Amino acid sequence: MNRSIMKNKQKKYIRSLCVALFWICVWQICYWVVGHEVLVASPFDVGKTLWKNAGEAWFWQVIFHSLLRIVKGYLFGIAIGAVAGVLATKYYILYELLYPMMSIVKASPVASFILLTLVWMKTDSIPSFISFLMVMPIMFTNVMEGLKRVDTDLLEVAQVYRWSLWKKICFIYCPQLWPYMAAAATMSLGLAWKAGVATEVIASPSFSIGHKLRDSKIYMETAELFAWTAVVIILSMLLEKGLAILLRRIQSTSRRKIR
Amino acid sequence: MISLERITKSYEKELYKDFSYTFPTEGIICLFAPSGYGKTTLFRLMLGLDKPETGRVIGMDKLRTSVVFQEDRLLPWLSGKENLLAVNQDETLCEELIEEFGLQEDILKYPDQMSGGIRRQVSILRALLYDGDVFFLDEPFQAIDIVKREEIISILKKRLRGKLTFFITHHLDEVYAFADCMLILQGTPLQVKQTIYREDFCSIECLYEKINRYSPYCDL
Repeated sequence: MNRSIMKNKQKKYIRSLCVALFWICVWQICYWVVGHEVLVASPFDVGKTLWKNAGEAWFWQVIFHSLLRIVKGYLFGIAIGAVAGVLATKYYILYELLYPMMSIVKASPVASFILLTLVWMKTDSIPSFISFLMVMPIMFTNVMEGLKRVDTDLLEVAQVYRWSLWKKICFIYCPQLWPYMAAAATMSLGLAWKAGVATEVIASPSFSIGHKLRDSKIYMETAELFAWTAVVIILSMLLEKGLAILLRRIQSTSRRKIR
Repeated sequence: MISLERITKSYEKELYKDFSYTFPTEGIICLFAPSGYGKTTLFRLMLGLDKPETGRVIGMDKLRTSVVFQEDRLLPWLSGKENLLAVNQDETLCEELIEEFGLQEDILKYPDQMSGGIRRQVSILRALLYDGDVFFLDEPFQAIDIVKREEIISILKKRLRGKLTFFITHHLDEVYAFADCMLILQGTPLQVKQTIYREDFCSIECLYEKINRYSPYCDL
């Protein structure tokens, strides 16, 4: 049984590797066809640039600061969105006040917000703020949706057995709200990351991936541009993977605690 | 003493109008009426889950209530045992009850892995483990086989001695085996037509005859 699972996993990895190789080959062919390094950098050059940058301390500083900014905004968005969702479900007047704002934030182009905040804020804070804006309405909507679907029959059980609010939160609200919150957290992470990097490109704070992307475009260092883009993609994948592990951990820990 | 004072409650039809009644302080009281006439509504009013339009329920405020709802209402993300311990952490009493019901294996399963009858028993166990002052049992034996039902009735009779228990069923054999007193409710709005005490139960057939005068819907 275990051996067959291992074999399946190995097969999956080999297949993924083949797919990646296939697309690298396509990329290399494009490079040959175009024949101009400014338009398309070769996979080899991009790899070399990435390898060279990875050996420098500033490369990791740039990544660290970009991550810090975006994750800060993301976490604020999760927290504020969740609290606002809970309060708006409890107090209808708050829902009436917040709903139009959330709809506007969801519907407006990110670029408008970036350009507006350029006037209002320090460039260093803008990526955090934009990430926050991307995450908050999604969390708000999902928490409200989850709370609307909490099983009222179980709340009646809690009422007749005189459970405290804390016990109700642990035993009834959290387990039912969890899928909605986890979906919002997963869905908004990619959005926050992409919008955050895009904001860095426009706002160009120092020590940021966006700033590096912008510099490579200005100085026509296409290999550098491709290398930073690869960094953005790899980090996005790692963040998603990390979040999935974290969510699984939180779920299993909270289940153990309930018991 | 629990009493209802001039209760009025309607849903699609007027279920209760100026309904007053004072219940005894102990014993197993069966509420007997055709389906859809408001027996469960009466439970909900007494438990404070619904509010009467007028009138009030007296004597329930300080009482702890153990309830078996018409649906099992177990928390699906907890195992049977975890569902029990959620209402009372007394592991010794919990184990004792589980053993008495013979549910040592099934209790470790999650509600969706249990049969309807087992879920029902867990729901009864939960009410017993909480050990309230008043018990509300809304069709507690549905989906439980006859043999098991008899076992559970004898456990309940032993455990509920000296307490006040309200009990809803449509089956006369359950009334005959379990109740101390039977309130026959009839009409729209609902009124207590007759109270039959255990000493007058005589046999199921005779009970059937007595009831059929008021309620043609009961099962023998």
